[in-house]
Amino acid sequence: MQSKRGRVDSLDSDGLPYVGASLQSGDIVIGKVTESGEDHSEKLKHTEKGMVEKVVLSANHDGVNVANVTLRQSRSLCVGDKFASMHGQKGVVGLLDSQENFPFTRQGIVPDMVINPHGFPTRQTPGQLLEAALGKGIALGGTSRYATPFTTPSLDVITEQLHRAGFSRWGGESVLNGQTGERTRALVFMGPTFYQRLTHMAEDKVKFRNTGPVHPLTRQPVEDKKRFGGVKFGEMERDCMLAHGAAANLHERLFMLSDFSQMHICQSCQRVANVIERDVDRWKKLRGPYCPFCRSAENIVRINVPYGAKLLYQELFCMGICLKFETEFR
Amino acid sequence: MSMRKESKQDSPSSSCNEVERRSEAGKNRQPTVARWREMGRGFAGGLQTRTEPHLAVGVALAGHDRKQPATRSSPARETAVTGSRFLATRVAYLSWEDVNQLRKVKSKVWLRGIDEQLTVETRIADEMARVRWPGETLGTIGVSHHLTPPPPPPPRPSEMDRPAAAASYQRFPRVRIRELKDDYAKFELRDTDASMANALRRVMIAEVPTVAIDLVEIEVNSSVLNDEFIAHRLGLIPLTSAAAMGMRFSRDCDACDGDGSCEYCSVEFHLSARATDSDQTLQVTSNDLRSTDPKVCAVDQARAIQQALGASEPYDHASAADQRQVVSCITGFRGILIVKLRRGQELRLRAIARKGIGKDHAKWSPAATVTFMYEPEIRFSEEIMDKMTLDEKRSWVQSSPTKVFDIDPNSHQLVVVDAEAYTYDDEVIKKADAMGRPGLVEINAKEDSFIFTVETTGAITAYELIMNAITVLRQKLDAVRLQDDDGDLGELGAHLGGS
Repeated sequence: MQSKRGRVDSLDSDGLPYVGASLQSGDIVIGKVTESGEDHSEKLKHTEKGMVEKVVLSANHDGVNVANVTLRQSRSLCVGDKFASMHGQKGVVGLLDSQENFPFTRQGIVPDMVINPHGFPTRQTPGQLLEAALGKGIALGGTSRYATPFTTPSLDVITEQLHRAGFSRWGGESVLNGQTGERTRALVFMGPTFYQRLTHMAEDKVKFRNTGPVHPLTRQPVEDKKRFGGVKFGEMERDCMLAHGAAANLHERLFMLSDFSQMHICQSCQRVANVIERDVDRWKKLRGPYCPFCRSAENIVRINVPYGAKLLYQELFCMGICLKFETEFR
Repeated sequence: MSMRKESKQDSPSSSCNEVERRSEAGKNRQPTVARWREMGRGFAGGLQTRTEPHLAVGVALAGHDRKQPATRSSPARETAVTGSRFLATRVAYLSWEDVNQLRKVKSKVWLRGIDEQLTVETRIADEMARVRWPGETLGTIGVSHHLTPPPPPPPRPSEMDRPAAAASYQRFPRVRIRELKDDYAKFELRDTDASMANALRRVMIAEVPTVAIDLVEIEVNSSVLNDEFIAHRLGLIPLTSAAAMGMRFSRDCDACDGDGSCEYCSVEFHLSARATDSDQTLQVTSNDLRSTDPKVCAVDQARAIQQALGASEPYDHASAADQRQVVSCITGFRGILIVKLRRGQELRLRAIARKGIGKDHAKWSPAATVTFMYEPEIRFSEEIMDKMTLDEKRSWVQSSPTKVFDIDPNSHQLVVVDAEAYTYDDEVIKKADAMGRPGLVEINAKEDSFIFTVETTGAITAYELIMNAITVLRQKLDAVRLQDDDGDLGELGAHLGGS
């Protein structure tokens, strides 16, 4: 069975994909054909792809069939993925580097993650530091301890435990620069910390377009990511461009690349002249701008105007307000 | 392999293993319309889940048993399915000739006695001395250690012909091995500087090639872990890679496209395991991986055989299969766990191992730990020490987290018992300051001596790791030197010459 709508290689004869099939965006995930032979197959959206995890074919009480295909993806870590510790210290990966470039201790320990200490004084989360320091001592042969908010090991217990394990009391370690092999001057606080990966991943947020769908009413590019929309160039961005004096750039961004349109203006009455088809004589019809107010096709000019402005004119016109356009040749 | 589907689909994620999956049920296609409606009626109100283990396995197995009589399963495998499953999980799948071959390879790098240690030290040192930075021969280089000409190299019992000391800034590092085991080495590297030590460390971690499973073609997988997960786990199993230096990267291999059939660049593995009706959970381990090349197999498999060889020597060839079972049972090497199977679940796959380096994926890194430390130089101020009371001295000694200092029981003098235990954590210096005895001790890191600790994953021996790292480093430097053969260093010249 073939389909003109997309790839059907992974579908079985029942129109459902086999478990373990690799589906790309745009592939057909559920093949459906009406009795007349019309293709109603379900395609994957441009954000969706993955391996088939589960296929469920079921029906509800009314006897309507329901097919459910679950996809899975393996996502290796990438720049822009979000992580958080148990203390609400959340952050985003800014650099991925290989092991040999990372700092290392004399024991050969290489951190999995390096975080900026400036996040601690302002966020007031000493808990994470305590977790790391206590956890380090425990991992190095200490005993397990209660660390609830009600029974907290005292600072002395933590530092003493670290000292016994052969580390500096405050958890700092002398590390070597992985790129040069030199010692760093300062001691670096290291310890085990529970980190979680949050579902906000760069892959889901990436949003880009050059040309694409526009809003049917305003003819401006759509904003929705699902509909392949673009990134909004808003008021603050506009202000920024103005401040830079980048008028041409601003003009291009907000007009030429957005809702460029043209309309006709009758210079005699300064009203809009619509393009209509009218009779020139009995046999001949002519299509062109014509001013119904002046009943003339003379003295009409064509101007570039955002479609939004044209829309505004028309909406006001509907309410009995007619805008006038002063035009001049330049 | 008659069941293989023609079209392959590579997984888009390049960092992980590629996973290929063969269609099980998609063989006999029927017109979609008819099937759809039929199923719709059949399951109206009901629920069919395709991942339901019993169901899926039942169907898949029935199909397979009919189409594929046990042509590919080895005798050992037969035992596994029919009888003593417990023994068979620990079977190492190698023939007896392979084992002997393996033993020969291994014995070459086996170290016993001080003579051999000296030989190894000399060899490493010689190799290190041959590592020369591109600018060295030019003599106008601004890299830190070249600024002042080094002292003349100390006489060493080496046959190496070396250039005249005046013409070159080449240094002659000394190496002393403290400990060398199969997968662990501790050695001192002296008379060189951080750039050299760190280059060695970096190459050991990221650029010494090994062999690891890179492509997995899953035939049946009804286990609880999904295909990618298993492929990833397979990739991380260290494989014996003594031959990796001589192999080709499959991207450079002209003879094949890295499909496992080519002996120069890839090795094929098979795994087939099925939990039979017993209630016991079946552990699928690296011992179930059957290699097509005796030189490359899971590390603990090789080790189990080696141990058993030491245990009892004469085996006759005929009973090798049984012996192999015994081997792994005796030595207790259970292998690396891949997945656990419940009754009725099955895992069958083909995997291709390829040569690679740690830079591309950590699974190719032969290094478990590679690190070095600067040797500390500790000097006391006698004057301040004399002013201290014994109690003060005691509490000062106690302040060090590691046992670096002690008090001489006779003279009550502070002494250094183990300088290398010092971790550069400044605890003792802070303590001395706090006691009002600043300047009691001065600790500096020697700039030119390093103590290396090297541990491998078992893919290659620690000795091989060090030697291969030096070879790789030299190859890289040769490549740079080739560029400036015509006297034009290009960009590099601008960096090095500072002009």
